[in-house]
Amino acid sequence: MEDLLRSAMEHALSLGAEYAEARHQSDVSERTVVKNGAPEVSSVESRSGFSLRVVKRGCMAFAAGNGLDAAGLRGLAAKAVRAADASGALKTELRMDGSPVCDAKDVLAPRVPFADVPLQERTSLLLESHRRAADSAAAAGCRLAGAFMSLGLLRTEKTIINSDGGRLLSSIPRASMNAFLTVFSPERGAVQRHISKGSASGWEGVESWALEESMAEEAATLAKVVNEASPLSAGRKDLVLGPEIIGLVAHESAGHPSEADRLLGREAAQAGETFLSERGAPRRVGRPMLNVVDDPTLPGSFGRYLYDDECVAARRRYLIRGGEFDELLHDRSSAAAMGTLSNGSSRSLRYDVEPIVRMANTFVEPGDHSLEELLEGVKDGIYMRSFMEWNIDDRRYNQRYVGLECHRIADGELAGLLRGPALEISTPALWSSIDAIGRDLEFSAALCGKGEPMQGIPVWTGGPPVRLRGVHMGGSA
Amino acid sequence: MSLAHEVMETLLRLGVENGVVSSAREREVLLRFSNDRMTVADAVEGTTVSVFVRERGRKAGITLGETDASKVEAAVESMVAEMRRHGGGGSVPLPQGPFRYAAAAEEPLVDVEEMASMAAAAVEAARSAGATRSAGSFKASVTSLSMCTTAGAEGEALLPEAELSLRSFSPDGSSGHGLAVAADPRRIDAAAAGREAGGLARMSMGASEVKGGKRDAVLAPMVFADLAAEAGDMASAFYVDMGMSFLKDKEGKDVASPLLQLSDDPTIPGCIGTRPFDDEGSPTRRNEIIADGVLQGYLHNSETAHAHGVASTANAGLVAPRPFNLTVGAGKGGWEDLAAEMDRGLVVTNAWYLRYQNHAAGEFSVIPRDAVFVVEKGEVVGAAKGLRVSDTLSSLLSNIEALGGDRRWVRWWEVDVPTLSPSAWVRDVSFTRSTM
Repeated sequence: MEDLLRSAMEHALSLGAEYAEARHQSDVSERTVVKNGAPEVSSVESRSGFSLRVVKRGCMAFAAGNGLDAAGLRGLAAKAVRAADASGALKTELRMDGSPVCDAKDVLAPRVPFADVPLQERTSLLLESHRRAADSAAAAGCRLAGAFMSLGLLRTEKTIINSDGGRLLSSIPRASMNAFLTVFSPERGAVQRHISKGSASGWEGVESWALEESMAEEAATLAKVVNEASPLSAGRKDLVLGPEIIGLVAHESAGHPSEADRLLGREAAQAGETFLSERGAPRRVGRPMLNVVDDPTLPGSFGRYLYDDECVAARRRYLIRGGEFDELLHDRSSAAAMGTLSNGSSRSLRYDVEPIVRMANTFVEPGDHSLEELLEGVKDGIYMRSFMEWNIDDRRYNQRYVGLECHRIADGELAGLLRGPALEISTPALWSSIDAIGRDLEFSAALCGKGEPMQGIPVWTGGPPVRLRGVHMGGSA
Repeated sequence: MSLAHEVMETLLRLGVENGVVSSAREREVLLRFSNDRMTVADAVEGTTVSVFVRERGRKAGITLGETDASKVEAAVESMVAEMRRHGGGGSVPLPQGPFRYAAAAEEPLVDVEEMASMAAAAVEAARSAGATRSAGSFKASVTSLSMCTTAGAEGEALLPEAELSLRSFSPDGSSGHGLAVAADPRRIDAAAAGREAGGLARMSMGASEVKGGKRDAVLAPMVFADLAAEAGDMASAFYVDMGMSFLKDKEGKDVASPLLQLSDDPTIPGCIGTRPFDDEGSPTRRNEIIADGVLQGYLHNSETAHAHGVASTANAGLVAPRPFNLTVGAGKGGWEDLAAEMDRGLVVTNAWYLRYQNHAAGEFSVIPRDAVFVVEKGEVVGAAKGLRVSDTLSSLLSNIEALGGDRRWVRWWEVDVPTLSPSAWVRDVSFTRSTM
């Protein structure tokens, strides 16, 4: 394999490329789906192929294909170089930085290989999870009116070499589970929830989620929301955000604004840019105890990797340090453009898409408060544990989170459920409203969408509960 | 014998009750540019083979990036053996072929140098129209599809697509989006897309914060296409059955203004979403989804159709039926003409990031981006920023006051399904905004 890649890379260099990298990537994904308590489909998707990325006279190009032999790979290299030559009137001056590149292996061996778990066991797990969820809803006088549960088992293997001496062999298994539940009461209507779980692991990751219990608890919570949640009037409140929501905030309002390619305008027509590039944009957005980091090296995390697709070692990045926006996420071309070095943020989803700047596992670093201590300090407020609707503008400045499981806080105690309060707030206002940070760190799994073509890449989002003071909450829909 | 037919031999040998084999060879050129300069030029080719099997109450599928028939056949044998260890009961038969299909589309020429020249023309047109910089993508692809089923359907199709999407910025950061969509990249009017993006960026300079609340709004084609595509997706019986559609239990009932006609029509010759057959081999056809504001029915494959006691609408998706090519009926005039009829309100030219609080209730929000104009007494008097539409699909579709005659094909990052949409004047749209 490496000989094939090296031959193609050298052919690209012989055609005038200043930089070339060659990659073979294989993604084998097995999926088991249960819909409304019945097996829906089981599927296997296997995608593998080669890609060449080159820089020639400052222009970058990418070519990919599958089913190729040595001659086909050299043709792929020629195609990439020809595409780099095609820039014409839009010619640019791009280069790669001088980051040290690795010669390394990153092989994560599963404790329980996916192949050891027969299809019937996977299906039975989802069917039982559905049954437990339906029973939970029924016990509360509601009905599980719709349920979609999907179990995904993915193995990604990459071989990458580049003309700066980088060489990487990696093999990473990932397990994921996605569910969509609708709990319905004829008298009180329906609530719905997306649930995502994910880890870089073998089947042991799935076992750690205790899906049957988890789905039963989720349905029971939704039934309580249906049965008990009352409307909220708009107004200024103290707000405690649970890990699920502050994790998303960390991703959307610290991670995305800190992507260097957005700052350089590369994603302007799709995912957008970042308010951090605007004149007068605040660097300080929070108190000194606020740190938001992105760390690809977390063991078992959904976004785990040790070396990126440009063969640069991954490390923890401080996006917000001591309350100030600090480090950007870089690949080698964005780093070169900004006079710095890559911090190993370049990832691609499949063999046929280019690597771009991505987050991995983005979270608020823990503080020292228990949840009870956070609540104790609130006289009249809201504890938002989960959400359904959210979005944020393409500068990552104005965002909205609509709560799903939300508790009223009265004199430091939980005092009943609220239906759908909305937090609509700017990024600086959100971060600067945090006055206390919890100590119990939790993560959620997600697929982060970015790029053209769209690349939904595995990430974790996380944090401990945090307390915001005096934020304006929109009333229930 | 094509790869698809070779694999079908294996399914027939194994005695599979219902099976579909398709092989697809895709070639794509994608040019991405930003700050008026090329960011990357992509050239991608690949072959995939997909096999779907349904029998004895179970369904299974494999998709392989593989051209070696023996490897595909081995994978198929393994899949069928695994599936047969479980399950019981009956399965819905695939639509019985053979069928006759419309003639395949002509293969367009996809040339990277020519596309780069067109992208440069779009950038230059945007600059001439007042933009200081532009970013975007120009992609063109051709998929050669071969399909056969155990029920005797077999067909070949060529699916060409081209899309130029351009976002231009003015010195104060205001922006406009231009879009051109066609089956053939040579039918893309790159300069027009550039002029549109640059002109909107210039027109929306000096945007100010405006209050939220209920306002009349003209939703330009890129925005209304987003809503129409959501309604089209939610017409899939799969999502209806999952509780993920505001159209559940609404067949034959009013779901929109009587002005709204929404169809799925993959039979339009030479169009980006045109295809001769669905994923089960049924010949595609035009299906009315909403006529005069009344929901006509759901989109089905053979399995959801059986469950609902109706016939397939030829919208398979092997698991979930889906629309291929949505069209909204036209009214008269462009967004400027609709705004001229509006006493006070907003014109929203683009929107993205649509997310639901409750799919069944259609409760969602979406963020206007690029140019938003303030209208008073029928005149554009300024530009606005920082708003969000927070409403329900039912309300927005029911409150259509008028539709424009400015229909255009929309497909881009936000809108997956090609959608032919006009502007729409909608009463009492709920706008919210950050208050801190």
